Amino acid sequence: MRSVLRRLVGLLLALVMIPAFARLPADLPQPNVSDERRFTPLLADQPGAEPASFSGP
Amino acid sequence: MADLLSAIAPVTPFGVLFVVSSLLMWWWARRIAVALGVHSSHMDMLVPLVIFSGIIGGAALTLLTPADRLLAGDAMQTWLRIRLFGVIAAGSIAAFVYSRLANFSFRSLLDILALPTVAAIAIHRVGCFLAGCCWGDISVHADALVMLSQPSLGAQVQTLPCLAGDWVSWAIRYAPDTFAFRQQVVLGLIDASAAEALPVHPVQLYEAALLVALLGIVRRIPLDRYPRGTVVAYVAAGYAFIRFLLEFLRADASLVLGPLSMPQIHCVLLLAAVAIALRYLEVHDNRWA
Repeated sequence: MRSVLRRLVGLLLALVMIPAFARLPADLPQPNVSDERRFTPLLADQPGAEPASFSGP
Repeated sequence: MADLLSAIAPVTPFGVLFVVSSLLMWWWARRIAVALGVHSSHMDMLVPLVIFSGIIGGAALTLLTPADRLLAGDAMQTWLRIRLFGVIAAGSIAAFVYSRLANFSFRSLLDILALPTVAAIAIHRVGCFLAGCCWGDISVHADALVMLSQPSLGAQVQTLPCLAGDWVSWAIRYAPDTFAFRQQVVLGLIDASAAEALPVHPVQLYEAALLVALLGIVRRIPLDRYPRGTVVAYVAAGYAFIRFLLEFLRADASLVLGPLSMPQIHCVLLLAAVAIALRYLEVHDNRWA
């Protein structure tokens, strides 16, 4: 009887969790990005400086 | 794959792999339990309980550690994350409570769950890779990184410049509207109109591969020849070691103590706990056989 009860509880939990988990987009919700507080490389802030460049592709 | 899945059901690749990893953990835990003479119904209740508790614990850990919510300083934050160490801690507490209520050995339950948990995390990481979360460091030499107004942010997105270069041909470039892309835009490394992000290490796949190797090693431990709790101790130490190193290649966690991120501090704490546990197991030798 106890084993049936244990299985029933587990099954109920699984039935609740599976549909919810299957819709998870990622383990991070959409981040809060503030354009006003964007970090710019120091070089780009200096008058006459070249814009940031990358040596990689 | 994402388009196909969204066409047939309101699910996501990440979500599907999360469910698959949970079901695999459940199935394998049942098999191990039966092989050790434990009634499978214990796993039928315990595994969903551990996962459910773990999710709550993983989210709670983020709320308790605000620094872990910063993805690019305070310019890019997330209000919630499901942190694995919180999942492990809360899942362990749930297993402990269950062991007391069912009059069962706590160490035995953890031993049964150890390998299935590692397998589940390995699959879960593939989901992370597809979803773009838990992303890796920039894998090319970006001159602008050293000019960031906050050097720690440059170190966060490229901790080990020696592991960056054109030779990392397997690096992944995420599309716009992904976490890595947004982080790089916020840091001023790419323009918001860029077609794709700078290449990053597929660190989620590195972790999945290393966890498969860990499984191969720990599976060789005969459960009945060592004190109960030995398997979970080795698994925890192995994971903490792997994760500590891989964190140097992850760009999603702010550096909170020198070059260390919050998960690395958790790794150190976990390794210390394992050292204490192994000493305890030597003194309290309680074997399966």
